[in-house]
Amino acid sequence: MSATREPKRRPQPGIFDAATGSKATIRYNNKVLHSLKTFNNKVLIFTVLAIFAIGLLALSSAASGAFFAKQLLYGLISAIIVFVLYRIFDLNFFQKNATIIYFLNIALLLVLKALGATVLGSQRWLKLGPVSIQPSEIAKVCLIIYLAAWLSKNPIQGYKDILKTLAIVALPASLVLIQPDLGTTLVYVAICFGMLFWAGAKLIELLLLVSPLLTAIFSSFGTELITYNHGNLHFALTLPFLIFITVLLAVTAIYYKAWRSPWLSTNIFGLVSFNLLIMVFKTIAWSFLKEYQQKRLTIFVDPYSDPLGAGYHIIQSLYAIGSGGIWGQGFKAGNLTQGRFVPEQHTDFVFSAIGEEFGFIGTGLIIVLYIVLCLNIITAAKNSKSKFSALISIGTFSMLFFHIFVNIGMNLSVMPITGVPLPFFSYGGSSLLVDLFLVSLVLKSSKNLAYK
Amino acid sequence: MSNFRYRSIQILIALAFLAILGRLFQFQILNGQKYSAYIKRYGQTYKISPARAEIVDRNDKVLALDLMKYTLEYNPVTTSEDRGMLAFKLEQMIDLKDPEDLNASYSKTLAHGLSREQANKIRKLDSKLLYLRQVRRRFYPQDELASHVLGYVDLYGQARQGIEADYQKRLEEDSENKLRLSLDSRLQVFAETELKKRIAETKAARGTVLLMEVATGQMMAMATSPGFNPNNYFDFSLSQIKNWPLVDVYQPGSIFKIVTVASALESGTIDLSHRFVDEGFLEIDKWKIKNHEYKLGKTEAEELNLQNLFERSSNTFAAHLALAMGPKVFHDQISKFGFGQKTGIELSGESKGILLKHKKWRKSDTATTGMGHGAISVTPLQLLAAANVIANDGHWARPTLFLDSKQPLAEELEPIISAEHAYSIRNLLARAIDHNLKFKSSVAGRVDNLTIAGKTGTAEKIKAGGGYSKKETVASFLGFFPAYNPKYIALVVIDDPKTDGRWGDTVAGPLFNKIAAYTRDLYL
Repeated sequence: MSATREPKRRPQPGIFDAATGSKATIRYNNKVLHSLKTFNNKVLIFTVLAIFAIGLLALSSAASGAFFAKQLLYGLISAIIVFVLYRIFDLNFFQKNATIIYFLNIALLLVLKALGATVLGSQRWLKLGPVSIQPSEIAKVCLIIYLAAWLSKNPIQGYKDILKTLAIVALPASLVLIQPDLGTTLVYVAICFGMLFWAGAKLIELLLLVSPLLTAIFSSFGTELITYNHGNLHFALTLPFLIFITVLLAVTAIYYKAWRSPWLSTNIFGLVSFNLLIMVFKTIAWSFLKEYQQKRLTIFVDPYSDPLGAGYHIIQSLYAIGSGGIWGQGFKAGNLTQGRFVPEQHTDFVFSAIGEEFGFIGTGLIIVLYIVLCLNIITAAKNSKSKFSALISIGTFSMLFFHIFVNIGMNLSVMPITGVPLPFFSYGGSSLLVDLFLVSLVLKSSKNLAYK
Repeated sequence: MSNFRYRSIQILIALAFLAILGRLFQFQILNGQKYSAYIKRYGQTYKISPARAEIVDRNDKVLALDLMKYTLEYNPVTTSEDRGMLAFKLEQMIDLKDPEDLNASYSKTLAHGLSREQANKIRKLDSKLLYLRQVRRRFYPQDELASHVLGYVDLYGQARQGIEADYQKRLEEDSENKLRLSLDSRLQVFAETELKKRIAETKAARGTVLLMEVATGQMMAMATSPGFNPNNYFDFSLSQIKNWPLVDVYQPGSIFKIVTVASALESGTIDLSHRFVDEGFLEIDKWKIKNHEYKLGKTEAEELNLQNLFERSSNTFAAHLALAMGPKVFHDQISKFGFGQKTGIELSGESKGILLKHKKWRKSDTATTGMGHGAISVTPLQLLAAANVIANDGHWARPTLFLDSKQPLAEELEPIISAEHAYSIRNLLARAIDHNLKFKSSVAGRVDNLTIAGKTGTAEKIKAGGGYSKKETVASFLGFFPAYNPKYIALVVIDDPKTDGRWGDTVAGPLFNKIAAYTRDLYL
């Protein structure tokens, strides 16, 4: 037998390379691309497994290890389910049936809402015999699939397209918001933003979209220039907000060259001054949130203002992470983790267990793994030849990125407490299944294209 | 796809994770030592914090003790229990913040600080969803009482401030034996309530009442307002928790004339028969020192003796004495009384006050220092301890919070001033008070069946940016009783009162009288 053997020829995708026109180059490119993709996929699988493994390590220590075995079981079951789905369906199936998937999902959320009223309190869970499912988790997948199908057909050309896309998201998002589940709603918004951007939305358009949120933030701190208090209406014009609104107006006006027509400048001025209305009516919107929700959103600024209540989790988490130092206290040797002094340490605050017991080395490793994961997924998106599969990857990235950043930020007191789990890490079957399934779609998006 | 969008997302990822790494660097590497030291010190005992000894007052009334409390945790397990019903039942027993918590998919702390009875009731529910954890909590049965002296133990078991922090080791190592303070909680309660009342009446910013036993230096009461409740310290601001009579300095004003006269006598500058022709004002350099009642053209020059100095609180006389001594002599005498040094009470964080070096004194500084301004700033406790030298036959008694504190006997110490001078000044002060009560309708010192020797003080506060404010004063009264055989000494300081002419006599006087009367009822 000869030592070197030609690899089995596979059908190559028929790509016309306008730049070179040379057939040999195309073949070479495809080969490189192919090997690159399989390499990428291997790295992706390895990263996910590594994160899951470290997660198990943390769970064997946190909450006295009560959730370790269950999570391992969930992992195995999820892997099997995802593997089966991976084998049965290809991406085309999802693209073709995206509309059906979307409306089935809406129906599921409505069913939950209807039954949620009868089954006391459990509005997030739907019981189907022995298994309980969380429709808001499934909705993440359905939303990504449908948005990918929609945006690949209707690339973003202007504001109208953006508004249409927002309407698509608004339906499931509002159904989840009234559960109430603010954290998951924000995840949908994050998914939507990432995919909009990839589908052609301009940065300035996205900036204008988030400007109401930024307004809400900027108008709630800093030096107060003007204050108004009357009845339900009380607001303050703060310095940070004044700077923000001025910059926004200037940037928009310059970008769109507002001086070209009075109509255009009126539009821009109207759009920006919409933010003033937000500032004025912010307090009323705020009052719709329940008190514990308000507190969760603001407590991270100063957790010590309510050390027994809303700030308790954050303070405990900070002490756990901080006391880890560089090298950590050692596996199963963290005082706070072993004494179960960090609440919710198997879900929302699982990061603090690693922080305490493995120190900066441990947390740094996790961060590196998540960076590799994120970069890998967006590279998969970049190398996709189909818009649909690229958008699936971007949707997955947006979701995971939001989860990672918000969850770790929450552990480090830079983000509000929103109850968002850490992907592949926190205890919980539903989110693990959903995340794994989305990653399998990312894997498939490369594979599909390489062999198509 | 577009390279620009790919690069943008890469930059976003880089920035976001850099921020997280930066924050981790800050917590784990820059401050890691701090956190782990904290956990090491208190961490092992985190499960149940170490036992601390009880703190009691001189009559064994309990001021601080350990209680076993329970924390109720929620366990997110799958169970067929009726969560709604459970929430309903729990709401009857404890203050449940949000019944929704019982539907959470993660564990939660439902309530802190539950009593044994509450815990037993919850146990009877026998729910898989609930979990009780025993924790040791420091409890202050008298709430605000003597909170500034006691300090507090925070929710994490760390002692902060006061006896709790300064005697941490003693309280933990010898947790079986009570730590007994010299305070008398009857007097302490009385002083705190009356002080609060007086501050409300006079619309003042803050105030303090210090009551000490003359011979031993034992503090009988240390009331400070605004106060705080150590059981829920987190509801109070730092300025409320601060033990300001030990920490903050102010210019004492006329009370300091006691020290001026004592210094002049002790340094041999004058004798008891010294007289001074008071014109109502004194011109020094470009400054003009005036008496309170001085009116241009109407005040006639009068010859005053030392008793008159205290009766009228003559600024010019005091300034004259200071000038007669000169900066160096006066400075040395003042520092003998403990100004510019800590008194040595058993609480950390005490301030030294301010006594400028005499070489820096201008002539006007020397003169105004004589009347309690100029180069001198004191803490209320320093002033009390210094004046006690007069009451205690010229001997220094270190203020202490314990009955058994090791103080050198009065006889073993070098007296600060001679017993004769101390005796004379006591008589001067007692007769001055007596005279003012009889002829000037003064308030301070009018207590039935009790003679009082003392001095009022109405110090103008230094304005921001220099100069003195006519509108902001510190009204105070210092006195000891019985006047001719002093057993107790008390100082009342009311900071920035808005009524009663802002005078020491009218603002602080009534409160002092009440304290003295109550002390007389209990001890004399």
